[in-house]
Amino acid sequence: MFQTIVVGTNWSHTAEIAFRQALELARSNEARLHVVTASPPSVPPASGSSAGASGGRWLGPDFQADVALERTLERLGAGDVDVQQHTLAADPGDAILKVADEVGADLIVVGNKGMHRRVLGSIPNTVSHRASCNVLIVQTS
Amino acid sequence: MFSSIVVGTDGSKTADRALTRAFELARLTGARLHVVSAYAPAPARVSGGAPASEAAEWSVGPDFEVDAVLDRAGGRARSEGVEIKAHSPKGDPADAIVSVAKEIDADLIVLGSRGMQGARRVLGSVPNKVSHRAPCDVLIVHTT
Repeated sequence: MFQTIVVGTNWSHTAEIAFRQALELARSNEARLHVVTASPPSVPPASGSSAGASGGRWLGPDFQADVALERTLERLGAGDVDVQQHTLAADPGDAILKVADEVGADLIVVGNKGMHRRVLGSIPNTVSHRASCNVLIVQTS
Repeated sequence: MFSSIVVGTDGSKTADRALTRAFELARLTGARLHVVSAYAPAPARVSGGAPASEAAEWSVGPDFEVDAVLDRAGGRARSEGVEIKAHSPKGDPADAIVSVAKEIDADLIVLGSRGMQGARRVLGSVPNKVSHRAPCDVLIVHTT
């Protein structure tokens, strides 16, 4: 039914509920799962201010996302699922949509809240309004 | 994965695509499928005739169409080997879908992405409203 699934996550406990759902769908459909982790584009520090003031606020570097993915897949016993990781420096909603277009996704899975922003529903809202494929909004609250 | 799925339809082509997905998901997961088609009460007559409520009750109107939509969905479901339960509540479609989902403790709502009443926005008003209020997961089936 679905062949190419995209899921966005920031590796929070809330996001993992959506991730598990995506994983299960990927397994039952024998689909490839593309995991998108977004970090906002780094803003160059204003001249004179100290660099790295916002360090640690975002899960930025690729390797952190790789480690998180590896550990999560191991913990969930999902070594059999075909998973590909994407780490983008972009707004999470934009990143998910971009990857979905690039890989020709037929399903995007997102949690209904959380991710990097605290505004309720901002990412699922962006994604569901702009996606050019099916969208599953997972209840994570 | 899913044990109880609600799908909304108004008999349109966009809704048919959502139905197809819902049938597939029900088959894949063995979930029970509930098909919801809501209808608005017939508009009141302005001059003459029976009082509005009576007119609405007696006119061959939206509820008749809804029954036809649900019959057709039932026929399609049977041919796909899926069993459904039909619901035809009166009222706003989004409210009706959310309320059926709550009532039967659904774990998934399936809807077409286009407005079920011809909304021009990319995401129709019904899926938009449902996705903000749903008590469970929502699958928005892309239907261009």
